[in-house]
Amino acid sequence: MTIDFRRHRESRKKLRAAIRGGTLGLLDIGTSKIACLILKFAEGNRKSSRSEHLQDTKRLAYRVVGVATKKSRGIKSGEVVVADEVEKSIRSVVQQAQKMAATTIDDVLICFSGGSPVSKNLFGELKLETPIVETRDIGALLSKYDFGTASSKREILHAMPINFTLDDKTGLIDPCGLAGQTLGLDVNLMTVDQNALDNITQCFNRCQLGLAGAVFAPYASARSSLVEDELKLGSACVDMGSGSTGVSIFLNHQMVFGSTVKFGGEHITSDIMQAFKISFEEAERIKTLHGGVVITNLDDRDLIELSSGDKAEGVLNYDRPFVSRSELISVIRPRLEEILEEVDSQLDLGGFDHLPSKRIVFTGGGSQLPGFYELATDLFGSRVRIGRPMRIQGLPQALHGSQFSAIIGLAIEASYPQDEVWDFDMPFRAGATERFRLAVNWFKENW
Amino acid sequence: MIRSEYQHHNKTKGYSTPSKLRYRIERIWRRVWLRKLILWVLILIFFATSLTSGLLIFKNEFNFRGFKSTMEAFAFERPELSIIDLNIKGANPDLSNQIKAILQLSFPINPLKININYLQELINDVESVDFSKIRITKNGILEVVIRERIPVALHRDGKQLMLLDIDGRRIGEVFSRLDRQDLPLVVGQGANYRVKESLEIYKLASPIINRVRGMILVGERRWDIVLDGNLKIKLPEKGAKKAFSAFLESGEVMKILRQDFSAVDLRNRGKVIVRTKTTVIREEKI
Repeated sequence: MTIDFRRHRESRKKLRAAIRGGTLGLLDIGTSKIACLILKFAEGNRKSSRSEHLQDTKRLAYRVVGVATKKSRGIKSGEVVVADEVEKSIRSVVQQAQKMAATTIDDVLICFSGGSPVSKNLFGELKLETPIVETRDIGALLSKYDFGTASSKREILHAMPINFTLDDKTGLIDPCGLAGQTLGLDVNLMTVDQNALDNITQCFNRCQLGLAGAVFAPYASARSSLVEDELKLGSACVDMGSGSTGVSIFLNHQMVFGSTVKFGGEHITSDIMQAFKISFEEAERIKTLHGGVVITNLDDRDLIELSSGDKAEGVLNYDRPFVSRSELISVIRPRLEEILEEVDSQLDLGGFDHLPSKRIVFTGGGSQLPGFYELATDLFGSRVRIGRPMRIQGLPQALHGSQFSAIIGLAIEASYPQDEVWDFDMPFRAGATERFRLAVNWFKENW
Repeated sequence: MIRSEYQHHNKTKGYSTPSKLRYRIERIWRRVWLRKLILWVLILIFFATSLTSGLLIFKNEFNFRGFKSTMEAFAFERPELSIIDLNIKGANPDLSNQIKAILQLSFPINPLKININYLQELINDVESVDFSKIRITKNGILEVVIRERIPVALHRDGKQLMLLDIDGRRIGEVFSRLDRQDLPLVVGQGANYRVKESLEIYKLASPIINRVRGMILVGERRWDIVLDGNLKIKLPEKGAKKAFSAFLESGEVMKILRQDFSAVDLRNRGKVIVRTKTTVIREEKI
C-alpha cells in the first residue's frame, strides 16, 4: 500500500506558515498537567523558513512570549478519555497563554506520548544511476520503502532517516555529493494508534487550532535534555512522566528507538493512596513534598501529617493522622523499581547495550524524587544522569524543571526541525489502478 | 452516567474554563489588526467630536466671516484670475454707456463674484438690445457682444412717442416727432402689433408720401391714412393694400386730394366715397 504522507505534509506546511507568521503554539498534554508555550520567531529568519527543507535553515531565533500550565483533565496515560474535558483544558490553557502573549495562535505543535507507540527500523538500498549521490536519489530510494503499517489502525508519527550507507560505508549524515554505487538508508518508523491521535486532533480542531505536527514526547524530552556528546555517542533518555514513562535511544544525533512504559508517577501516587487510604490529591502532596527512594534511620521518626483532605466535603477522615516517611518510601520504591525494570527491558529491546556510550539521562517529574539518582545508579550503573532541560529564551525559571523537558524539546524541535521522510520529494510510484483511484479521490475532495 | 460522575468529580477540584463562545470572542479580540482598527476609529471619533464641539462652543469668539474672507482672498483673489476690463461690441456709444451704467462693475473684479446669468438678464432687459452674449476672454476681459434692435416706426400712445422695431417691440422713447422724421408714425391702440402691415401700406403710399402724416389704427381693425390738411383715407378692413393701390392707380387721386375733403372712404369695394368738411355739412344742416 502506498502512503502519500499528505497529512504529514500539510502539517509541515502549517508549521512553516506559523513560523513565517511569527507565532507558534506548543502544547504538551500530559496525564497530570497540560502546558502551553507561545513562541515568537524573530523577524529575520522568516524568509529563510521558506526554503523547501526545513533543515536548510539555520537554527531559528525565537523567544517564549506566553506560558500557561494547568492540571489536565480527561487524559489517561497520554490518551484522551473524555474529549469534552480535554477540550476545556486546552481552551483554558491556550487562553491563558494567549493573554500573556497578547496574541493568538492558529497552529500548534504538540507532543504525544500515548497510542502505544511502536518503533521499527526499515532499511532500503538503491543502485545509483549517476556516480554522485543527488537529493533526488534519496527521494527515489524512499519511494521504494514499504511504509505501510501492519494494520490500518496505525498512524505514522515519525519516519526519520537516521543513517545513510554508501556501498560499505555507514554512519553518513548527508550523502549528497558523495561518490558511490549503492545508497542505503535506515529509517526509524514510529507508529501510534490512529484513534488516539485522531482524538487529540479532534480536540484541537474544536478549539479552532490546527495541528502543525505531533512529536513523540520522549523524543522531544531527549532533544531538550541530552547534550551534544550524549546525542553523538549514543544514550537513552527516560522521561519519567505522570501517566507513562517514555524511552528514547539516540545515536549519531538521531533517534534510533523510541518506546513508552505504561507506568508513571501517577501509579506511584495511586499506590500511596491505596496504602494509606487517603485521597489522590493528598497522596500526590505527600509524594512530592516528603517522598523519597532511599530509607535512612531518621525516616522512621519523620512523621508526615495527613491533612484530612477537603474539609468542605467532610467525607475523608483518615484512620491515622500520621505516616512515617520510611513507610512512604517503602511504598514508593517498589513501584519505582518496577518502572525502571520496565525501562530496562525497553532499553534492551532498543539495543541499548550496543551503544558506544551507555549513558542514561532521566528527566521528567518522576526523576525529581530525592534519592532517585541512587536508585538509578544501583540499577543501571554509574553512567546515569538526572537531566534538566536546556534554557530557552523567555521561559520563566520555574518552568525549567525537568517536568517541562518535553515542551521545551518541542520548542527546540520547532526551531530546528528534524528532516522526516515526507520532507523529501518522492517520485510518484503507482500502478494504473492506483493512479485512477488517486484521480477519483482528487475529484471527490475538490468537488 | 459514568461521564456525569466523572464531571462532578472533576468539577469539585477542577478550575474554571472559558466557555466556547468566550474563547472564540477572545481569540477574535486578540487579533492585532482589529485592535489597531478600533484604536484608529476611536482616535478619529475623538478628534471629530472635539473639533465640532470646540467650534460650537467658541463660534461666537471665532471670527468665521473674517476667516472665510481671508481664506477666499488667499484662494481666489489672484491678479492672474481677475477681470480687468469690459468690452462691449456691436452697440452704439449711447447704448454701451447705458449698459456700462446698468452693469455697475468696477475693475479689477474677481470672476467668482460676478454672476454672468444675472448680468445677461440685466443687459437683455435693456429695450434696444435684441440679443447679447457675455464671455470672459483669456486675457481677463469681460466681453459683451450685442445685437441692437433697429427702429422702423414711431408709435404714439397717449402722449408718449415710442420707437418700434419690425416686430412691434418698443425700443425707446422719443420726445418729439421732429427727432425722428425719417420714421413713419402709427397711432392707435394695438398699432404697435401691426407694424409690418403699416410699413407695407407706407411703401404703397410713396407717390403721396410728402402729404402723409401718419396712420391711425381704428378700433384695432383697419387703417386710416392721415394726410396733411386733416384728410383721412379710410382703408377697408380686408384687402386694404389692394384697395389703396387701386385707388392710387386711378387717375382721380390727385384730383381728389387737391379738393378740400375731410375724408376719402375706400371701404366699399369699387366705390370711392368722399366727404366734404364737416363744418360745411353742419352749416347746410343748420
